[in-house]
Amino acid sequence: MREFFDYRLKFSKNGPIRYVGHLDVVRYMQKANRRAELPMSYSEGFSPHQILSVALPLPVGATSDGEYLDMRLTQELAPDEIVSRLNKVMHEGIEARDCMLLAEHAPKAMTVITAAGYRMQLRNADIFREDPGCALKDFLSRKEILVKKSTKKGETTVDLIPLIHGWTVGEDGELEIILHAGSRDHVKPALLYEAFLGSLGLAFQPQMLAVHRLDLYESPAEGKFVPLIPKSV
Amino acid sequence: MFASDRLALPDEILLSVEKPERYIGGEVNSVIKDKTAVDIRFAFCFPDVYEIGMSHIGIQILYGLFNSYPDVWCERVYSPWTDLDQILRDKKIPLFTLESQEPVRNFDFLGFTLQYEMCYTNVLQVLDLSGIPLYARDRKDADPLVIGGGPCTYNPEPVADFFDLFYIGEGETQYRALFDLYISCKKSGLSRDEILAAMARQIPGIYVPSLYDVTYREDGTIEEMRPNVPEVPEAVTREVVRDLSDVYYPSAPLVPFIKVTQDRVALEIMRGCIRGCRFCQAGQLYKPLREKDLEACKKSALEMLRSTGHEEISLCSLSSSDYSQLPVLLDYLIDTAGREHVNVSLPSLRIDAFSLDVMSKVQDVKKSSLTFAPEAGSQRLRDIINKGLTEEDILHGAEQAFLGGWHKVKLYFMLGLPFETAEDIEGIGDIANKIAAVYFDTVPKEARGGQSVEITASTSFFVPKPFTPFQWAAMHTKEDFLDRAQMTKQGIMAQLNQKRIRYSWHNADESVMEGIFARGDRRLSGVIHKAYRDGCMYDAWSEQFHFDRWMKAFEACGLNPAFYYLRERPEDEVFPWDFIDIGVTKQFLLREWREARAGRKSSNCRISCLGCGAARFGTGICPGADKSQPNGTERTAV
Repeated sequence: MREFFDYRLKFSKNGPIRYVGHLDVVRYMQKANRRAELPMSYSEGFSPHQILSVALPLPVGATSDGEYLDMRLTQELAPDEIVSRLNKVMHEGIEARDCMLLAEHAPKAMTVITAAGYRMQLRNADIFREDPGCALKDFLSRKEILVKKSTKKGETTVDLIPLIHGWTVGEDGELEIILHAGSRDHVKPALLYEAFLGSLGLAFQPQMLAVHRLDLYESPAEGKFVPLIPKSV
Repeated sequence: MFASDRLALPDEILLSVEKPERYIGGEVNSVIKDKTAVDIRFAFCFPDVYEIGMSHIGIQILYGLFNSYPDVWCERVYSPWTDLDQILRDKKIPLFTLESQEPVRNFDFLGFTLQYEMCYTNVLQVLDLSGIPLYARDRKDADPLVIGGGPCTYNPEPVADFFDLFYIGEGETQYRALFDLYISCKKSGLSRDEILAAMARQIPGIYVPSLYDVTYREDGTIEEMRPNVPEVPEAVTREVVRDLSDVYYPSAPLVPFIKVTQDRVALEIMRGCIRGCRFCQAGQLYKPLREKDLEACKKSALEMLRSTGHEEISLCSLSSSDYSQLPVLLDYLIDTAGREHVNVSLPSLRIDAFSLDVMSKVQDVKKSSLTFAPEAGSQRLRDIINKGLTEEDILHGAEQAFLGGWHKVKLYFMLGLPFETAEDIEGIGDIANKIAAVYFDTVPKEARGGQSVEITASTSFFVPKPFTPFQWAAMHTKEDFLDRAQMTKQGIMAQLNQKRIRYSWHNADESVMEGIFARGDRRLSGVIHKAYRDGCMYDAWSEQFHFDRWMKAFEACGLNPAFYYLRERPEDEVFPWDFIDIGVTKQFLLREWREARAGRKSSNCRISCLGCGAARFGTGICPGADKSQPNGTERTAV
């Protein structure tokens, strides 16, 4: 008999709620779980809190169709029921999309992530003298893209090319890309665009970039990327 | 690549300001209506930053009440923080409400809740950013009616020129009538002035400043304040809810995304207070004490917890220990809500065996601190201010708390109270020291677990408020206040246990300004306008407060600040707020002022009726109260 049941929930974040920061999304989900009257598992102590964790924080202002939350329940519920109970109490912009029961002692989403898919576009294309799509294609086709990255130990130089796992550029300069993600060698979307604009002698500011996260992936085998909740579970 | 959404501000702006969540609305339980299907659009403003405004229970009540009317859509607006303020001015973007994100100036009403005097320049900020003329006299028929409510409207005169009307009293009773009148006036095609006059004549509790003229004596005090049109009441009587159990209370309060100051369900259990502390304005303004009955409280608590998902509930009242059903209610909440991991947060309770027992169930005694508010350092002065707390109560409470495992104690005092002497100030250090001594006597060394007692004493400077027995009292200069803080500090430093006592005091400049506004008259509108034009805003935020600009504004307007705060008022002076009838009479307050001068305490409402005048509302704890009267009846004859 299991004492608790770990679930992985996939949800989307669209519309004005994109301005709600990561920690506030966690607080929002805690309250939604209570409104949905899910049998949440709580920590011990004087200020007990729900046992849950978000797979990968999303930058403020970004939208997403692939956010993941691991959460622990005290009873087993059908994953579909969790989705429908949550959607009844969710608010504009956040929607539960999918859910699955994890195996006992399964590793947390944040530890298994290997990549994140994004759709991105610069808001003011008029800063370019030439077609931004062409410039971006040229940039991503380079043999190496060296960027400076600050870590706890100081600044290091990283080549982004091995950390890019596929991309397409649309006609209007819209980029779809899979970037390495997780605890090691994590690539923030802004880092890529900072390097791109830098290569053209332009300065980058975060508000220039519109970011939409498509999904988060794990790698069951080297070079293979599947969504954290595989399709048709 | 993104579909345009309902936001008033573009991404570039929202991503460049601090906490964009302040401006996007869409919180859980916020209300969206079809604007073409309502008769009245009401923009409700708390003139301070979002996190402060969203923590206010009064807005939650009126927001829910107004939106329960099918023909009204109430939305919210807060002061944009200084970063967005500048952008809105530079780019000429009109201030908008959170729900529809539409300009405030298109609304029928713009309502301000005035919770503290230091928000007055923010009222002008919101009007200015909305594109609404700052002075009521400059507004046209198409501008919203600007209405004020809240505790500061018990002396609305310093901001009288900026408001079209004020609602004096508790909001639940007359807004429906006010809205009905507005709708019928609009249908009849009445002008702005005609609508305002109709409201002043027909709706109890409504004060329209432009319909009153004030004349002054040579010494600057008021000669007379009289209506300048017929049939407008000479005295405006405060509106009072008669039955708190049977009045609207929100079942689904707003849940902000962002962490706000009060991030929890607020359950109002009682209005009014039996204790007549002579410095306290709330104690007089909300008389008589009215309890919400136990069943109504339980039902309300569960509804709000379910609809919000909050993990904490807090009980709201002026003095929760005086709620007759407190033990039963707390047992119920700890039992039912506690089982669902809801934390019950306890408001400042009197420290006694009961409250310590309850607190030990809901708090971590090692981490939490206990608060005592002796307010004054000596028994003599506590008697003068009628604070019914003795040194014995405090020391006994502290002893019990130390036995229960607590070791942190907070003490609140006021400096500059009327009739305060050096001995009273020295008493602050003395009592803090005695509490430390109680700890060392009560808790043996081996039971201290490596910790020791931590006492924090803080003092604020006393500000006399209208409708209190101290409304006649003089305030002190900034220098005098700071001298008193120094004396307090030295008094603490001289104590045996001084290492265990920390001391902090408030900013004296801000207290002086608060004191000027609190008992100010209409002439201050010009000063506030001038200070705002010179860059004053967010005066309640110490780092934004510029005392020098205020003093220059006084000079420019030819007014002397000392007149407003340094004088002791003669007993027969006409006050700017005398036209408001709160139920409690001026004669009663004067009697209390004389009792204070004589160093005598008074009783409280539960022990015996003091004849303050509030009994004529016929409700609550008052003798002869009759709760069977419905809420929102006609004006009581006075």
